[in-house]
Amino acid sequence: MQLEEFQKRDPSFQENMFLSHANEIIKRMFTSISCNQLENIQHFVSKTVYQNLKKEIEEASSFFSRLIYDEIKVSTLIDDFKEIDGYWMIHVTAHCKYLKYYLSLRDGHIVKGNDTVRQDQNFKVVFKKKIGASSNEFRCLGCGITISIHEGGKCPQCGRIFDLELFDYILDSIV
Amino acid sequence: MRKKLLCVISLTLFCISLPVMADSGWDSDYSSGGGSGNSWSSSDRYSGSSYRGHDTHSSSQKRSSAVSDKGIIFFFLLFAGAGAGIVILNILSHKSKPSFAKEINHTDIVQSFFPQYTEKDLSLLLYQKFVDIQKAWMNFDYESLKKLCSMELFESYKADLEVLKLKKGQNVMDDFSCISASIRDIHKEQDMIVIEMYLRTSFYDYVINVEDQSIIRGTSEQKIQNHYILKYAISSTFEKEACPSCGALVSSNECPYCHSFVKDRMMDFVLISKKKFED
Repeated sequence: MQLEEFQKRDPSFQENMFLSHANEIIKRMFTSISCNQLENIQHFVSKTVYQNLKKEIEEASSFFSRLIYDEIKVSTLIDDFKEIDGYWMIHVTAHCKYLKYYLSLRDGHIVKGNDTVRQDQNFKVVFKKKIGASSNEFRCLGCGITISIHEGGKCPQCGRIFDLELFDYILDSIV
Repeated sequence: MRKKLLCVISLTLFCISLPVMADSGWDSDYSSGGGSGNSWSSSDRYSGSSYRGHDTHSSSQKRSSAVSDKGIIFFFLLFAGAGAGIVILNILSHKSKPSFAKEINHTDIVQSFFPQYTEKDLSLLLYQKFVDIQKAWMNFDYESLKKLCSMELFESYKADLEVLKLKKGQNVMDDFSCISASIRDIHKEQDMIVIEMYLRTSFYDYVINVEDQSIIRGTSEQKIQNHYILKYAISSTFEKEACPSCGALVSSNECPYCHSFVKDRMMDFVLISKKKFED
């Protein structure tokens, strides 16, 4: 499906805003690994992606180090729009540049990787949103208060992780 | 044509009179820019400068010694005064200066949005915000960074600082000098006012190891000089909004009663983007 046809079917879709949102999520995904703060992006990604990110962190921890993504630059391009099982699926190519290395938690030295030469990588990313979802107001399903998704997905009142899928696009897969 | 001739004559007379004043002139005001190098930014690497430079201004003044022949002094001063007067009159009466006439009056634009500020006031205010952000970055002061930056920018900076902390590093930035600052554009975007500003500044910028204080990147010997295009935003309206959860009328972004998020309003100028150019 092309952009024009998609915009007819979802008039609320704005390409620039979506790309900005996509870039933010992808960058946050990398930085949350570096900071070991996956709770900050749990609401932005699918359960599968979250589990994979968790595995990456655990693997680094097994040799007392932290996986670092540094000096990250992300740009995205939309490839395709699809409708599958009541969800809008937007396929994008994310062009990412970053430094990737493992930092020892003991002495802060680099144990693996390179902190001087950026890697250049393209990822195929899929974002999904429930058809008919509205992103005007993000309301916690636990206690009903409105929350700001930019400060993390945890409700400050009841601690429930926000279900962004019902309101806006989340990162469904990344390869 | 006549005006030009008059100008030339008066300038010639003025120049003739100069030898008397030469010893009373200024020594050269000088400033030499700092070296190139990367300082911290949201998208660029933090590292110090690479070559020597200073950011000082100095001037000195000398007075001429007395000249014995009072008549010659009087004669020359008379011509110098006349020449200077004619030149000034010519400048004032000059009808058009094309480049100035075509310049946008930035103060008018600034005051149409912010009547309490001239362009200079606003530039200096926003420059100070920039310095505050750099200092907050240096001190890992997340609370200040949160107030001074947009949420997206803050999250990006926070992540970079967390990595720097893991590396046991600290980015030292000090002795800021504003070389040039000007407002390039102001416009409204939805319910925000966005201000674009050009800034040329110099400062010390290097990274140290916090454990042994050794410098691991950059140098503390010389300042770097950077050019930036900064974008700030501020909410265009500060009216109270009804909390979407409990309905209370509140002016803050978080409801003080039920702690719901009300609106992401920028109550003060916040940095939303920063682009750096190097010499």
